Amino acid sequence: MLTEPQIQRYARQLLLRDLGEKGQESLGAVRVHLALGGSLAGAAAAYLRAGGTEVERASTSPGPWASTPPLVGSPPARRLDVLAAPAAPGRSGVVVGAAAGAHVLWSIAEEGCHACLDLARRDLAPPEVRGPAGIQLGTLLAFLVQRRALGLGSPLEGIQMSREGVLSTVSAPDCIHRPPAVPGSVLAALLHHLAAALPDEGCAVLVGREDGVRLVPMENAQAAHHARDPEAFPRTARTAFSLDPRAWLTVLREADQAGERVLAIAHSHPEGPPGFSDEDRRWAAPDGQPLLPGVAHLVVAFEGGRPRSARWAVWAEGDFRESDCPLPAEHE
Amino acid sequence: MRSPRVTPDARIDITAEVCPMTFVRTKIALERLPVGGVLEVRLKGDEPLRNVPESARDLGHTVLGLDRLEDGTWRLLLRREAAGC
Ligand SMILES: [Zn+2]
Ligand SMILES: [Zn+2]
Repeated sequence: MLTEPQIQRYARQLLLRDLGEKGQESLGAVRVHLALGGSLAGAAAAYLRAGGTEVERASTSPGPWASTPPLVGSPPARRLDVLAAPAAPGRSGVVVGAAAGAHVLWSIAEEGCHACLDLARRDLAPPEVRGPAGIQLGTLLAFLVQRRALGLGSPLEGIQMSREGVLSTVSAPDCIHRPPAVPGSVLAALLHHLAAALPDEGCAVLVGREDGVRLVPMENAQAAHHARDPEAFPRTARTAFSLDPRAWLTVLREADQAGERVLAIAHSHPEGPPGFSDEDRRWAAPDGQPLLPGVAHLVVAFEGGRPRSARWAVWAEGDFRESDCPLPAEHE
Repeated sequence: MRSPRVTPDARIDITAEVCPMTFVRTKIALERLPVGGVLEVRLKGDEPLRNVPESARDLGHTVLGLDRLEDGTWRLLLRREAAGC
């Protein structure tokens, strides 16, 4: 609960629709580490402190912006970093930079994808701001920080300000570092398709966009490959899968035409083992780099004809990272 | 507007407050209630009489009643709704 002095001090903003007592407490629950200088940092710090957020500045010169410290209840528990590009916040914060004649700000939540932020900030130059633009940008920066403190906005959001001061949002890249969200019905259809291929390994492709995923059942071409050339393909379809190159090209073309992309390749292990095997790893990244960048892998392990587990393998920061994919409960 | 017979979950007295504190107090008191909770606000004067019920409605809360009491103050009953903050 806010104290009486806090209520008096922040009365005006407590009236705002999205703020209120809980919001004010959230603003006071972060400590901003501001590793920037100039009028930009001065304006941002003054604005944030006036709103009730503690700010620690790398440069200690108070300048014309000396501001009253905020009134906070208890020491802030969350840390938010504000840095100049190309540096990046450890967990949550805002990166300020410049690109193509505009000022660019990227804001990331703790749960945001840092690999995506790395892509977004890669081409940014350090900010170059002076004069009135710095004050304007500092206010915008404070606004982004407050949104983070209040838990508003998407996990990774970008905004840019042109030299003329016009604001526009910058869309975040499509995240390829985390498994796609697959609806239960699509997952159930996948399990059905893979079960039908038993005792062979089955395979399928998941295509779609952020807002929708569809299943493309595939034939396991390994049996045909093995029959044709057992020396080049020593393993049978019982222990390996491969995609027919022509069928694969068709999937790619159709996805492209529909404005979709290939999200994942799924295959089964008819009698275990669960998870992404060493063989899978060699197939997916023969030279230590992913053969299909941005495509996730899903391995469904069966046992006695029933699916027992599903594991994602997603390439991020130099390696495949595995995670669990919960199976739909009522699968028969 | 006759108030229904409800027992408020919380009461505040803003007869000594002036704008904007009249609604600041009301807004915080509403936020502290669970959704569906009823707040009784004692108020006085034209300004809060006009602004407090209207501002509460603007935020999505429900005005249950407004009664004039014998001492010249008013009793406003508000129900906290999910949408309001
Ligand atoms: Zn990502
Ligand atoms: Zn495998």
